[in-house]
Amino acid sequence: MLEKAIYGGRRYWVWIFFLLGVIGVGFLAYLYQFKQGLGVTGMSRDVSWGLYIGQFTFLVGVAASGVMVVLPYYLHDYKKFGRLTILGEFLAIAAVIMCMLFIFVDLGQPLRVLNVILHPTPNSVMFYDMIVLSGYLFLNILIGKDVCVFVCQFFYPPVRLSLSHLVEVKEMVSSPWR
Amino acid sequence: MSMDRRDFLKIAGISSLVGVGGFSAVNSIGNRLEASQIKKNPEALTATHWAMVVDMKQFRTKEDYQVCIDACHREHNVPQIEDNPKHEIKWMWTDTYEHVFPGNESEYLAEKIKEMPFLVLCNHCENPPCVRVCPTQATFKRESDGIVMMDMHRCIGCRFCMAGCPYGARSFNYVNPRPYLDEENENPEFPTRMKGVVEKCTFCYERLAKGLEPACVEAAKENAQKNGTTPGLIFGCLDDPNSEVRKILSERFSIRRKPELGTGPSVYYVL
Repeated sequence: MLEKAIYGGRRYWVWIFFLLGVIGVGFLAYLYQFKQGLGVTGMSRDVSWGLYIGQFTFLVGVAASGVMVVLPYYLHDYKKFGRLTILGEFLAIAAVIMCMLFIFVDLGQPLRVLNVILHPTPNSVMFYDMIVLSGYLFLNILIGKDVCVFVCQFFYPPVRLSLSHLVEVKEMVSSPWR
Repeated sequence: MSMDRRDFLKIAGISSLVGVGGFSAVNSIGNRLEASQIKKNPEALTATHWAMVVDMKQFRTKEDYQVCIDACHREHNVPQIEDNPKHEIKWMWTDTYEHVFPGNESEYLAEKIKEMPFLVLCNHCENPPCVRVCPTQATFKRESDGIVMMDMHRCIGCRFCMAGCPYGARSFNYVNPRPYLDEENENPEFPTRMKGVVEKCTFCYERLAKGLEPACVEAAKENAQKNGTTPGLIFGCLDDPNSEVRKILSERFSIRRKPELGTGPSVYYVL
């Protein structure tokens, strides 16, 4: 599936580089925050959690919606949704990664983040956040890959998805079912 | 040796489970050891449940409050951040009756009480919500005497404890606090902090270990001596029926902050 990301027209690449630019600006802004402290966000003693945690909770919902999209395919055997499941799984992966990054940038001492694993505290909800997010990410990558291979085989039995079959994939991408 | 993906995932999954599980098991045994395994100072003040009584009758002027707050903040190198109130660090401060005891106020409350500032600090709860939510045990309740401690070297700065504390007793270092310290009056006995960690009142555990009372209590005593009154802050063991705090609690009417939440605050107010 990811292999498809490197094929596209001019407009596609313009859009990709624009998005990379946005990511770059965000990264530089984070470096500034890393140096100055979380004070640059405008949070205070009274408002100790802000947009970062808000985004995290929102994106958790987006990630969970990935599963909702997959359910009809597996549970109700509604095979028409097959192609959509790939999109759902990869949306979930992207959303979970953003969730984790939002928590990371919200930490005052991000370099100590492994203390959560080093001193596991099952009475803290944050501990379960860590387990659920990493578990969900792992599952989605696994299922995303599986679904992807399965769907490709479903529509194109001779195709085995791997990096060595890029040419075939390219043909598949430009094929009419898409 | 070749293996297919299924086998690889099995082996990788099991070995990471064993690794993480084993590490945390060993680690949780290690955590039982306390940092206090050095020889104790024979003069150290000890108790099974430290508590404080704030006698509001003894706080008459603004200065009566200020000496306690200043003593605390000087003792613990608390930065005085005045250029941005959002970044303020407070271990001890004052607030109005309405804010300190929400739900207890009424329209016909004595004007004097309504306007009187109340001295507030960490309540060192019997059942502290901050300890419950901390993902790294950076804040913890010391089993021996009930003080809610703070390890500022372990804190990852997630601010969950600030969200958990119903008394607003915790402050986060939104900026590097060191430039805001008064270099001449810095206390070399207590560490300064870096940005990105949470801090709060610790009932002066470091002074108790040396046999001294908390800085605010000592300041209140000195102030009372100067004015020829009795001190407004009383500190002692709640489990000892002969302690000063128990005496005053058995004689006068006392209230605690938000007792309905079940946190069991160890700071009592007598009016």
